[in-house]
Amino acid sequence: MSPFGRLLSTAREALYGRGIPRLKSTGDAPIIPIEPPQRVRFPIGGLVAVVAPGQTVEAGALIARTPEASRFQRRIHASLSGTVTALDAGEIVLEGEVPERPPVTHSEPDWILPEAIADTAREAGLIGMGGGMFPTYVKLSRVAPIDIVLVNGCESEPYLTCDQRVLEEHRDEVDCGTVLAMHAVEAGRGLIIDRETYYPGGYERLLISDVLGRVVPPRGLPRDVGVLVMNVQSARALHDAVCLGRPLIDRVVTVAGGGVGRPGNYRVPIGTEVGHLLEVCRVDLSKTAAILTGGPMMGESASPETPVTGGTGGLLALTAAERSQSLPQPCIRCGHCMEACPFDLPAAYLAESPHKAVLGCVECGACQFNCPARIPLVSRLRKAKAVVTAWD
Amino acid sequence: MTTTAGPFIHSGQTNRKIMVMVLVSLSPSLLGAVVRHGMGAGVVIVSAIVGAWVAEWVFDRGQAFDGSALVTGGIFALVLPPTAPWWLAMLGGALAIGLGKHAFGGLGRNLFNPAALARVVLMGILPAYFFSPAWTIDGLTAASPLAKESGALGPTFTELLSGNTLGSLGQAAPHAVLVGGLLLVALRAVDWRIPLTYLATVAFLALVLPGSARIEGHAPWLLGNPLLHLVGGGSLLAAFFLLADPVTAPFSPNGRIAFAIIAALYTMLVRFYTPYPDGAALAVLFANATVPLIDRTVLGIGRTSEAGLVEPWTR
Amino acid sequence: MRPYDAVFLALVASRCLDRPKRWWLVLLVPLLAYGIGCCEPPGRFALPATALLVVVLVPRWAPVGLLLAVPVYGTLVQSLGAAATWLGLDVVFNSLLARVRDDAVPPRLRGWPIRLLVAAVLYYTLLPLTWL
Repeated sequence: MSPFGRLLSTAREALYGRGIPRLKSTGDAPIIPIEPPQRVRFPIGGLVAVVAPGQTVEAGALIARTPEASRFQRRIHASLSGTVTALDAGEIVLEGEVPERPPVTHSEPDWILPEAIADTAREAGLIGMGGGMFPTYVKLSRVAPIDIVLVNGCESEPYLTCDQRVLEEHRDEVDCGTVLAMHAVEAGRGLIIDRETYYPGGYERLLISDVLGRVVPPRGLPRDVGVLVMNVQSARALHDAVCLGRPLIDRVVTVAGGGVGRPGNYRVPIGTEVGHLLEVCRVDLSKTAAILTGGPMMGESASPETPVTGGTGGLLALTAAERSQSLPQPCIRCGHCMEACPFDLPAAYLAESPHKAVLGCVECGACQFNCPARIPLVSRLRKAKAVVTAWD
Repeated sequence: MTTTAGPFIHSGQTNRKIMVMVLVSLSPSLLGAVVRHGMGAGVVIVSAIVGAWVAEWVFDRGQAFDGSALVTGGIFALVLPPTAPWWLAMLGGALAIGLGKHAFGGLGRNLFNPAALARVVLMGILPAYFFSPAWTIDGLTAASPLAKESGALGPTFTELLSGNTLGSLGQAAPHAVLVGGLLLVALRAVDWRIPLTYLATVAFLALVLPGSARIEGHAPWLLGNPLLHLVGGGSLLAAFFLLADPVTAPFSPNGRIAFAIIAALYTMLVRFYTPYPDGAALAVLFANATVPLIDRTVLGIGRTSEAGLVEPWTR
Repeated sequence: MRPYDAVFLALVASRCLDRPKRWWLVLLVPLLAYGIGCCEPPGRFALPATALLVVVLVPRWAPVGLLLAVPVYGTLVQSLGAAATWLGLDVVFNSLLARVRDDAVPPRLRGWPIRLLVAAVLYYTLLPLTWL
């Protein structure tokens, strides 16, 4: 950024604030294990179950995997010890007890081959825990030269503090995971980015351009510019998988929002139902206007049956005041959507008329957050993207 | 809980809140006009607002309470001469809303600034009320301190600043317009780039152009202090309340800068090279007319089809 | 009739007719009218001769060209100015009308009335140009 540009942005921040507020109130709440659920469910679309109904499984055991021929391999492991009570093409339901101590299958190895790290990540079912849920082993396989590993601890989504807590309480494991990832792709540098950013500053592309000054092409990947980006919890999970032999069976989830009686950061077995979290965190449903998984910007509405997945960073129960909903009005061309857009896209235009520029949109929602006419820009942009993609 | 995808939170901003901000920012100018010209000005202002609001009620009841009609009426009152009769103000307010806004499809769809459009239409139909022979010699637009005073000495900067000049209601209190305008920018109701670029370009041209100006039409003082061009005429009003209206300004930040420069160029072209006393109001309409072209050029997303140019702006 | 008025009448007239492939040839008309006017004492064959050329040049837009041929152009600059103004207005007018959504405009104003309103606003807005 030029000095003049920096001056302008400083003036803008002084006048108008920094755009989307952080709204993080659980940053000081230490990670505590959630009251263990009796039942967990795993959506297994595209995977094949390796257990049968009625079968008894131990926590950490493989229960579903992708066929050998699949381009991207995924694995799902049981997060509690118990019985398979339901199994169909769409999901596996387990009922039982969460073990007191997480399963550990081997002690820390003395030396590790780079290829073995990717293999371990694949078999442990590691995925992008920032929400992308892309298989980690693919990033760790050396398909393109990588010279730097960025571990993303920015967590710019409002409300969410789970990554921040993991960095504070489990820094050694994150550091170790970072070194393992560097080792796997033979990168010379590794950076853990834990600075405070404003949404959508933690977004992969923006982080790469902010920290390294490298620009990822619109439909490209970070690896195209020699960068591997992984979430802090993914880095920690990589450490757990390689050093402790523990597959991905739990994660830290922030439970927050005006409707929550016991907000905080909880270690939650993957597969735990939202309903269980609502109950043990004392969510007052009469005060709640929306229940969602993920952050308030890119999250999705959830029902009590929705399970926590590896990419679920938060469970939010927002009050009507936090939602601040209002009926759509005519667009007054104020241009706030374009000013809010991290990629300077004219959202109000692109939402109305299909144009290939819309493909640069990452659906971060900053435009819709700022739209005074309350136009549902994100869903319209999504439709426009679908139309433009169909052109090719 | 109908939405299934984010964002689930919002800044809390609404169109109505923006209109309220504009109204608040407009009030110092309106008050200043009443203080300077007395209750007559008050009657003109109230009539214009009533006319605008009634027209809004007639054309679109759903929109009548978002405050945009009050804003349009108030701004229209400021471009009227203080001697305008109440019925002219009311008619103009109604024209601004009816012809300026709803004829094009309502809020957000008008091509021209409604207040400026209403003034031009009324000047076409009823020129007598805008051109008082006591004020101007060539009677082409409303009187303004930048008018060519026949033989009389022009106003000084201090006189202009105190509103001690003949001119439209909006020129009665430049302090108040400036305060309101800065408030408007601080509240983020308008883009700061437009007033800043416009005023800066006007001042720059006022410094550079006098050498080439057609001196015979002008009082010599016009060629002096560039500050006269900022404070006199409709410059301040146009910069903050007419040009900066987002509906009739380009969409992108860069486009807005180009737009303000175009408006300033036309203002000064009219002031220096034609017998018109002031070009600010016409410059607003001129710049408005270039907006679709600016948007298309800067955003680069208009496209051409066999049926001609297809504007992406649809809903 | 001033060239300025002729330009606006030609602009409105051009919206009534399909645009021919070589529509830009009408831009030559003010120049031709000026040139022929220079060779001929006014009032005899100047206008008919220009009319004939217009019909040959842009048959489908002949009325547009004729309107541009009617005013008396005093100088070369004036005729060039008229052509330039017409071209600029054509582009601006098109871009403005493309932004008007016909289904949003009240039924009674749809089509011609709204176009005339836009043309009228442009007419008053650009009036100072006649003094240049």
